[in-house]
Amino acid sequence: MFGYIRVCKSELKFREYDLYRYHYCELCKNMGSYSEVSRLFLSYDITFFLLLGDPGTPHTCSCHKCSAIKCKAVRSEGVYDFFAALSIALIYHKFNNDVIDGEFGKRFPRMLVKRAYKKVSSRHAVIGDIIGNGLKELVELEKKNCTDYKSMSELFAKTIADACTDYFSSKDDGDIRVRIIECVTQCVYLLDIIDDVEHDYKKKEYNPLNILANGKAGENEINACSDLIKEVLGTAYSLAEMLPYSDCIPLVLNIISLGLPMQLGTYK
Amino acid sequence: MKAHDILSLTVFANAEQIENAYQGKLHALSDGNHKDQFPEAYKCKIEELARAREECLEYLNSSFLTKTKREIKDSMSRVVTANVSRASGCCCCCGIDEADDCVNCDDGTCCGGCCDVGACVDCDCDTCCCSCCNCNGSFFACIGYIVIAVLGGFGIWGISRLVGFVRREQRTAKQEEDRLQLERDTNRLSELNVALEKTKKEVNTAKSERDKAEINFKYIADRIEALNVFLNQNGVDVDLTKSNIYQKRQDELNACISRVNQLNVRVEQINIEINKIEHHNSGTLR
Repeated sequence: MFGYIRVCKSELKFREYDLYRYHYCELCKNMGSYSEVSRLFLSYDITFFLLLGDPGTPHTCSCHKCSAIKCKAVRSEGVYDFFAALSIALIYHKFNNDVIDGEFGKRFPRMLVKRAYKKVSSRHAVIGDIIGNGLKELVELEKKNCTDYKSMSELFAKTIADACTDYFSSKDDGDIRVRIIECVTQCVYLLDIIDDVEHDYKKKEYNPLNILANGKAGENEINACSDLIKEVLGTAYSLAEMLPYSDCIPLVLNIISLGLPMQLGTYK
Repeated sequence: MKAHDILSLTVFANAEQIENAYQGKLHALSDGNHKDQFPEAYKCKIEELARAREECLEYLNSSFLTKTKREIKDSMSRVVTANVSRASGCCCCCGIDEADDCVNCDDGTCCGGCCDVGACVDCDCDTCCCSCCNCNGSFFACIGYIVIAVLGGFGIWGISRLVGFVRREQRTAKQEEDRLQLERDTNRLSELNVALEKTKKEVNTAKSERDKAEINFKYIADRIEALNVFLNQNGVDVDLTKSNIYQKRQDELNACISRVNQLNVRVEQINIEINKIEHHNSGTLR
């Protein structure tokens, strides 16, 4: 996606950060099962979704063989596989939309992840379809110069949340987790709009804030967008507090309460 | 401790702090307005918070030894050993999920690779590395590591050879360039020595010519001065120093002196050049 969903490292315990790195590494390795090249495009955003999938803490292996050769992994959970597929589908459709928009430079990276995407389509057909259709709809709205950034961010968030629903439907509190993903994804979309104000203004590309300001977006437009982000983050935090405690929950709360607001703070 | 983490407390929290944190969490939950939306999750969270509060209070009231034991147990259960094992069960070799299920050992904590002793639970094979217990990868991993190590070794050897070759080539090229330069300097030096000898001879010749011209001029000058005195005493007003012969001798002398000076300058230039070449090649020439 965009790489905005990051932890506030300084506020984490070593153990928590190790766990975060571990899940990130595992996700990367699992992307390798689709195609090695696709691993280059992994972002921290998907790791957050993975944390909400509650993949659990890895156990210590005390087997004497581990001193020389690591034991073979027993992959019992499909959580990494699912989010690796989600990551690839998002990456592919982002490049695909860019190519359709006329950015022919993105043809090469799209070609790199195409093989992985084909595998994703065969293993998780739903993910590819939902993301493909959702992003297509979003691009069409962007072409119409839609200024209602709230509804657009909701559409983007709904697309990602729908893609994740398949996995979370098996969990008791799956609907809460999906709702958190929806909120955070909405924030990411809004953060991206604020982040791109300067760039889009110079390049004369689509940005709802610039269109609303009839030029370069000023403090009023950006503040209105920031307020919406804060409101959505508040909802996400209160939802995350309802989740039963697990080792991943402190990471989730850290991202929502510190990581994302810090990203917002950098623009000010 | 996990209970403390749930209430966002440290293990040093006192009873009041525990109570405040618990109440704060409860308020935060009810303020979130999700009670009606997710009643089951809300109920579970309330129970979890109450349990955590009780555990925190229990921890607070326990003895030092019990506290330490609890802390160790809690820390050990939450150790993250990333990339060591992704096994789901207690036994990373045979993938048994529960400690009680292990038929190879009676140890409740199972299992330092107990199926490695020759009794795989899933088949009759003698070693652990059979396809059924997920360890067969170790053998191939071992082979893979050896292959990677050998290839890596070859790679490093090849690179070191290549680097050595390039360095040798560079050194040879430098030596060849030095040799050519030395050869050029030697040739130039011998040319300069020959020129120096020749010029020195010319200097000597010019000096003898100058001496001769000086004697001739002195002879003519003496005679002319005597004639001048004689003619002046006899009433003839004439200056023979302005005569053609006098002027000619004087010009000849001046030409010789100038020639000698020019040749000396030339000798000096050659000497400077020789010194320069010798200084430049002082190390090599020695």
